[in-house]
Amino acid sequence: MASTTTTTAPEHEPRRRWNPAQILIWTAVAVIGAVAWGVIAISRGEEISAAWLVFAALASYAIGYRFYARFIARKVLGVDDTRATPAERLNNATDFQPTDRRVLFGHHFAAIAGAGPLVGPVLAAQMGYLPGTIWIIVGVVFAGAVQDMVVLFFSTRRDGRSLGQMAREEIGPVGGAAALIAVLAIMIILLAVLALVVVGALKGSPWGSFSIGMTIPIALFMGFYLRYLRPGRIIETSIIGIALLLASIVGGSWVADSALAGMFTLTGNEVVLALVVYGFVASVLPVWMLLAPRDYLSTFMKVGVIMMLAVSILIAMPGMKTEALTEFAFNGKGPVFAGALFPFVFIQIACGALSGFHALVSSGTTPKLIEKESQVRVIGYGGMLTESFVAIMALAAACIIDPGMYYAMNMPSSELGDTLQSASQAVAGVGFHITPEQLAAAARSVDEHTLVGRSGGAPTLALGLSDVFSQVMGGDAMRAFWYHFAVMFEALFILTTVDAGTRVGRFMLQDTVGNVWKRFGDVTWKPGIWISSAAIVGGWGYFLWAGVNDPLGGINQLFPLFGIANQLLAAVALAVGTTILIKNGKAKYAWVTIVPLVWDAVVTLTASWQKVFSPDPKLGFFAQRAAYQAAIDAGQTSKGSASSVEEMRQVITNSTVDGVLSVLFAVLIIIVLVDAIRVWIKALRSTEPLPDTEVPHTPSQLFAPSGLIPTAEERRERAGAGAGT
Amino acid sequence: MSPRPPTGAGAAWSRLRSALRSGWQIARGVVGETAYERYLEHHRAHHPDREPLGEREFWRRHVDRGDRDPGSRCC
Repeated sequence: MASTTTTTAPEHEPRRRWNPAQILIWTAVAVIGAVAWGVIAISRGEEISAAWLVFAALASYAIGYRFYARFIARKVLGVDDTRATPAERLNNATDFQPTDRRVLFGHHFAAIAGAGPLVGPVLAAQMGYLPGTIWIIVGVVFAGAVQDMVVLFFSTRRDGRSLGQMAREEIGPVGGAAALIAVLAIMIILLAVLALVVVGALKGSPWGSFSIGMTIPIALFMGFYLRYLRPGRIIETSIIGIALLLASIVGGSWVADSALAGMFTLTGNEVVLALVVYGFVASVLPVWMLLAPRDYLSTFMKVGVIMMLAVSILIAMPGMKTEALTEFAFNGKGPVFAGALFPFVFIQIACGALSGFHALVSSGTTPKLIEKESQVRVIGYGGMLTESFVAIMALAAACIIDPGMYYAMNMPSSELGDTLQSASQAVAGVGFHITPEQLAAAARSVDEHTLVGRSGGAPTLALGLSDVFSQVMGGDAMRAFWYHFAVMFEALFILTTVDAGTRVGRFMLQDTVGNVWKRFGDVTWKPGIWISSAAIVGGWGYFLWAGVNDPLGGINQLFPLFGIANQLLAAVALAVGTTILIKNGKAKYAWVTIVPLVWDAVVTLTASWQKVFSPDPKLGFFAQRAAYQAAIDAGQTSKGSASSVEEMRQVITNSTVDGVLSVLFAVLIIIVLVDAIRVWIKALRSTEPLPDTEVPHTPSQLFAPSGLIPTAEERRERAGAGAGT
Repeated sequence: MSPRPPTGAGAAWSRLRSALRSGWQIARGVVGETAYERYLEHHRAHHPDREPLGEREFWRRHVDRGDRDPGSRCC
C-alpha cells in the first residue's frame, strides 16, 4: 500500500471556496446538533429517547473534527507532509514501519479503548444523564482529543519518544521523574479498579465464572493452534475462538443449573485469589501462549460489540428513565460515590472525555507507524472521538435502566443488607422506589441469583445492554444470554488489560531497578521476571483485596483515585505539549493546550483537596479515618456499615492508604506544573530559542492521503504521480 | 494508471467488489495478519541479496518480540 512517489503537496494551499453542497451539509449537521442538544437540555420531567444523545454527540464530533481539529493541525501544530515521518525514515519492518492510516486507526483505537469508557459513565449516571453527556462531548472536543493529537504529533517529530522521555527532555529531570512515578502508580490503581469490576460481576455467579474461566483454555488452544498448526492465520483462529466463546456462554447457562454450579459459585475473596494467581502466571508465561491470543479475541469482541450497540440503540431508540439532573449532583450525598457534580463528574469520567493514559499510546507506539504528519488528525483526534462515542453509549445504556434498579445494584452491599426487602428499603432511603418482587423478577430475567449489590459498573451496563440487544434481537427469551454475553465481553478485555498491564508494570519496574542493579534489568532473567511480576501483582492485589472487603464499598472509594491519577497523567501530557508549543515560538496558540490543562488542574486539585481535607467523613479520607478511630476509642463495636471492630480497623487502614495516595498525586501535579511554568517563563524571556529535540526536516518520498477517505484532490495527485489505485 | 473503469451496473458491481476487498485487507491489517507479507515486501526492497525468513520462523520471532517489549495500551 506504500506507493513510493514524490509528493508535491504545496506548503501553502490556496484558500478553497466553499461550494453550495458543503455549506448545505455543514448547516444540516449544525442544525441536527442544535436540535438534539436542545431536546436534551430543555426536556424536564418527560422521558426522552437515548437516540438524542447519540445525535448530539455525532453532530458535535463532526463539527469539532472538521473545524477545530483542522485548525489545530494546520495553524497550531503546522503539520507538514513534505517531512518524512519516523516510519518512513527509520523503516525496519518491525517497530518502525509505514502503516496504512485505516489500519493504524484500528490499531490505535484498539490500544486506547478498554473498559474505562464503559465503567466511568455508568457510575456518573447517579448525577443524571446531563452532566455526563456534556462533559463527555465538550471534554473530548476541547481536551481529550486535543491531548491525544498534540502528543502524537510531537512524538512523531521526535522519532516516537515516550511521554516520560519528552517530559524529561522538554521540562526537566524533576518533571520526568514525576511522570514516571505517576505512570507506575496509575498502572497499579487502574489494575485494581478494573479487577474490582470483574469481581463485582463474577462473585456468586456460576454462569459468569464458568464462561470467563473458559476463556483461559480457549486462549491457550488458540495460542497452540497459531504456534504449531496454522502460523499467521489470525482471523481464522479468532473466528474459531469466538465460536468457542459463544459456546461457553451457552454452556454457562447449563452449568449454572447443574450439579457443577457449586464449583463455580465463588465468593468475592475467591475471585480475588483467582485473579491474582492468573495475573502472575499470565505475566510470567511467554506471550504466544495466553496474551497474544487473548488480545485477538478482545479486539474482535470490542469492535463487534461496540458496533452492535450503536446500531441497536438507533433501532430500539430506548427511552431514558434517569432524570437529567438528580439531587445528588448538588448535595454530594450520592450513594454510588460521594461528592458534588464539580469536581467529581469530571473525575469519574476520565476515559471518554480526557484520559492521560492515552498519551502513552500516542507517544511511543503509534508515532512509529504513521505515514504522514497530517494523519495525526484522523488517528489522534478521530481515534479519541470514537472512544468518546463508546462512553456516550455506555451512559445511555446505564440511563435506560430503572433508577431504583440502578441504585439496588450500585450502592455498597453493607447498606443494601442481605435480603431483597432490606435492599428495597435502602433504595427507598435514597429516594427511589423498587419492590422486592421487582428485584427478584429482574434477577430471574437474566438467570442470576440476585442483582443486588453488583457494583462496579459492569453488571449495570450488562443489564442495560441486555435490554437494548433483546429489543432488537431475540426478545425476552434472549435477555439472559445477552446479559452474560455483555458480562463476558467486559470481563474478557478487563482480564486482557490485567495481564498486559501487569506485564507493562513489570517491564517498567525491571527497567527502573535495572538502573541500579544491572542484572535485574535483563528482561530474560527468570528470577527478575518472577520478583517483579510478584511485586506488581502484589501491588494491585492489595488494593483489590482491600476494595472487595471494604465495608464502605471498594469501587466507591477507589474509582475516584483512579480518575485523579489518570487526570494527573493528562496534566503531564498537556504540560509537555504546552512547553513544546512555547519553545517553538507558538505561544500565541498555546491556549489550545493551556485551557484544558488549567481545567484539568483545577478539577484534579479540587478533588484531591476535598478527598484530603473535607470534614465530611463520607468524602474526606482523613475525616473518615478520624471518625472511625474516635468510634473505636469510645469503645463502639459498630459504626455505619462496618459491623465489627475488625471492619472498623479495616476502614481506618483503607482510608489512610487512600488519603496518602491522594496527597501524593496532588503533590506530583503541583511539581509538574511548577516545573513546566518555570520552563515556559524561561522560553518566553529568552531571546534565542531554547534547545529543542525535534528531528530536522527530511524530504518525504511517500504519498498518502490525510483522512480516512482520500479527497478528490488527493486522488488526482496520486493518479498524476503515476501510482496505482 | 489503472484501466478506464467500465460504466453502468457492471461498474457498480466491480466498485463494490473492490471496496469489499480493500475492507477485508484493512481488517486483516488491523488484527496484524498481513505482517509476513509486509516483511517480505520490505525484505525484497531493502535486502534483496539475503534469503528472507520462512513463514513459520517469521511468526515465531514476530510474536516472541512481545516477550521483550510489551507495548502500551490503555484502560
